[in-house]
Amino acid sequence: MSRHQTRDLFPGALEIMVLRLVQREPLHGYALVQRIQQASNDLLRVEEGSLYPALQRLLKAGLLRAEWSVSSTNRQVRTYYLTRAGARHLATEVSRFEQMLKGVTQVLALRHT
Amino acid sequence: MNALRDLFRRRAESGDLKAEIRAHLDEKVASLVAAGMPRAEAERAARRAFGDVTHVEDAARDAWRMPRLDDFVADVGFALRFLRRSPAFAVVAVSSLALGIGANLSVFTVINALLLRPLPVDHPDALVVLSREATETGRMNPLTFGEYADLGLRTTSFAGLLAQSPGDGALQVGAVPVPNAGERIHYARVSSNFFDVLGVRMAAGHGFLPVNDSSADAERSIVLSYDFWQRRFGGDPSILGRSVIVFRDVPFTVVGVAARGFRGIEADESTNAWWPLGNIKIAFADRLAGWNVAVMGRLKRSVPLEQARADARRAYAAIAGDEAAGNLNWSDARRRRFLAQRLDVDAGGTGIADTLRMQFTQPLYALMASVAAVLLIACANVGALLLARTTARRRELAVRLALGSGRARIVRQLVTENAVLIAIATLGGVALVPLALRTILSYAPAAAAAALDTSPDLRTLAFVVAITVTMALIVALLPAMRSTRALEGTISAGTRGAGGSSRRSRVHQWLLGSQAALSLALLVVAGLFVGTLQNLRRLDAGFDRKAVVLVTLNSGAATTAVARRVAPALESIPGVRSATFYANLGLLGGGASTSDCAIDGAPPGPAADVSCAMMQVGPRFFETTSTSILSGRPFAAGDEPPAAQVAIINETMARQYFGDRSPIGQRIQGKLVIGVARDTKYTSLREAAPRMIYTPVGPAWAVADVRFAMHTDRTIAELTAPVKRAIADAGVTQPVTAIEALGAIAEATLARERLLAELASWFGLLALVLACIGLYGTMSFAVARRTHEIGTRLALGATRGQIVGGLMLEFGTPVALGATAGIAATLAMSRLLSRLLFGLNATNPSVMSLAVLVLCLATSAAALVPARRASRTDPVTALRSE
Repeated sequence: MSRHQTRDLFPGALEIMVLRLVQREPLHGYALVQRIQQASNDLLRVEEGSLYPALQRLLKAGLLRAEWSVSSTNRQVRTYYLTRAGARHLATEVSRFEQMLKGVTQVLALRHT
Repeated sequence: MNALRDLFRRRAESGDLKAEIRAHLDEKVASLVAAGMPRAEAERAARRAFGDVTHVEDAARDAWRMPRLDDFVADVGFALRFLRRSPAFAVVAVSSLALGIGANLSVFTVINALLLRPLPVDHPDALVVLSREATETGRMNPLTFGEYADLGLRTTSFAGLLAQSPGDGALQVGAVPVPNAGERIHYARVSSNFFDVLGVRMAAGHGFLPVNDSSADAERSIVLSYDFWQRRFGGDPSILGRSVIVFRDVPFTVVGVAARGFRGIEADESTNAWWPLGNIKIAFADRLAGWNVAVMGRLKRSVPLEQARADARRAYAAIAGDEAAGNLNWSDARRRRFLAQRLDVDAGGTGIADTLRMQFTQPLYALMASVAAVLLIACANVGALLLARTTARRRELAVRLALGSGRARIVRQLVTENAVLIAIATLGGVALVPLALRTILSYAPAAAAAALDTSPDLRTLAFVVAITVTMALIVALLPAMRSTRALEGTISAGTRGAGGSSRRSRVHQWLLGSQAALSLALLVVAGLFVGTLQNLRRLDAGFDRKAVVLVTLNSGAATTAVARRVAPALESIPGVRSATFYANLGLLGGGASTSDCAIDGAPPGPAADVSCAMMQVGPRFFETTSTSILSGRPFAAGDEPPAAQVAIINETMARQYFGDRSPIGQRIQGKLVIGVARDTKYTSLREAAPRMIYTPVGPAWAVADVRFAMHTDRTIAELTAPVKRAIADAGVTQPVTAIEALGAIAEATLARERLLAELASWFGLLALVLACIGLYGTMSFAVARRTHEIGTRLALGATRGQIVGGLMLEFGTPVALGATAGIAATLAMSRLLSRLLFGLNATNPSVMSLAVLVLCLATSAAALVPARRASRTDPVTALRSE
């Protein structure tokens, strides 16, 4: 089942990645999917559709804003920009994620010693 | 706010989302095609990679969901559909609640306007009313201007005391009087500090100069009310400085217009103009000190009411003592009665409305209780219907519970349904208020109906909220709570199941019983009030109610010399058989002029009450009013004082003073009694005729109030023009302010009894109809639910009569018990009620039995329909179902 891949991500992971990518440069949905796959060297396969509910949640929370514009391939696309609240949220979430990862890694490291 | 913004945004967002997904797919396809994949395959691949588009859209939309609001909207929609699906139920439930709410709100609005609403003045809570009451009889006796002035000098608790003496007259513009011109207005003669004490500012011009009202010559100034200024002069500021005539052909200058919204200190009559009280000296030079005034005051800051009352009472005791000592010609009895009076100081923020308040306070509270009972019946009714309906919906609800709906969610939905019902009913009730208000106010005097401020305020809003919440508690929560609790295990039992039915039917029986009790109580009360009204209408007033017409000139207008010219002029009008005039009130004109009426040579003991009512009458008075002279003779030419000193007394006085002896030839107050007249009602039909003494009017007295009476069969409309012409022809410039039939005046004194009788009848009828609907509805549901049981009993050999009888007994029992409780309740209320009744007792057995009979007939009729329907159940069909 393709849905497994999204379920394997912990809740909120997709959102953090989206925020980080959009922070680097404003992106539209399709481009976001491509970037996630590229950036993770295809380790993460996001079901493309699952991106959109995440985007809507971020829009509602005011962490992103969206504008219709024309893409490099000359298509009407909806481009997402990080808001100031989004940047703040990203910073705290990233540090919390790193804390968590550190903790998990330390616990996992115990087995080998 | 955020929720509201999101609500609008999610619509736009949904369109964007669709376009965005399309763009995504397009791009994916394009890139796959560019990589060499055939187009059709590329499209399939793109969709596969994307996942289920509809699912994604739903999931994305969920981000915007507001679960509570969405559920609520769904619940409301569901509730509306539900009501639409059972229109009969919806109409009955909504209309009965709406009628209840409308009636309650209307009665409350009138109570608010008459009793609760503060005057639109500065800090109304610091205002007080000073009044004088006879300690023995409780009768109010107005203070005089002299006493008012002394109170001002001898008290320290008041920032200011004001006096006013209201009156009716005509106002004409210009300095020269024109016969029969001018518009009828209600004015107030006030102390010059009136507006300052109240803290009422002027919308234009200025108020009165502060002077000592008793010593200085009063300024000839007049202040108009804002409403009157707008209505009569179109808000024209050039009216300031112009002359108007309101009193005795003397021009007054308009100096100001009072602040918008201020209509004087009488809650039950709008004042159109104010002028300084000192001006009554124009007509009554020496009478200012003895002039009756209403007195209000403003408490000094930080002086409590109790302290002010003690202060004013101390001052009054000294003033009254001086007064009694100074009047050497008073009899001992009169002095004693005078000193037995007490000054009272009461909160006055709602202004003065003694007459109307005294007349209508109790009736309004009685009506409030009645409409509250009607609303309770309606609530019980709708509660019972809803309970029956939720019972009928048990299966649906049970299935939903079984499918995983939370109990809280189902209760919430049932509550929403009921809340929607109540909301619609409340709107309907509010919509009924203007009509109901017009009906109620039509019983009050026209001036009062126009003056009472019935616009909604915070108190009416609070009242609506309070009754809505009460209704919601009774109507909505009860069935909702009951039904889900009993739901578990219902599906297995099916509709045939009897689970929880005993508890449910106990609730039904309570509801039916209380409805019956309340309806019966209302029917009894209505019967008592109708009886009271009939008794008063049939009453012999002592004078002719049909063929007497009274004419009033601008108040204070006529001297008796003028009256002697006007009476013959009126007599010359075709169709008028005789005309006369009289002074000092009477013939239901209100007021009471009492005096010492001691028999000469037989001084009564100091405790004896020798007061009596007086009427000064012109020629042909007894003939014109059809008041019979029982013995002796009526007045004739040559009887007038000072040449002769004669009097006619009424039956009551003759009986009380002389017993079996003939009063003819006796002397009272130095006057020779020449006749005994029949008792006539003096101030109202309710009151027994007082002791009364008639004397002829002297030749050239200036009397405060002269009225003319005509004996005629003509209608008021036919008389209006000829009367005005006759009066103008007699050289009288004062306008005619009223032409009224004596019968209409007598009927008007029954306003309160009519209000009670008619409204109580309507409410009684409404209560009965509601109770019958409730009984019918409850039985219909019960019978439908018990088809199986009834079918079984029929199959086992029960006759149709037995089925009908059984059902009637089952449902008749709570009604009978309720009716008994209702009788007990009315008996308990009888003491309260008796004060509003006339000529019958609150425990009147025929009224009681009639009410019981009506209730029995109506409820039996309502119950018989479903009972007979049940008895026609086909046992085969009933048993085959399920």
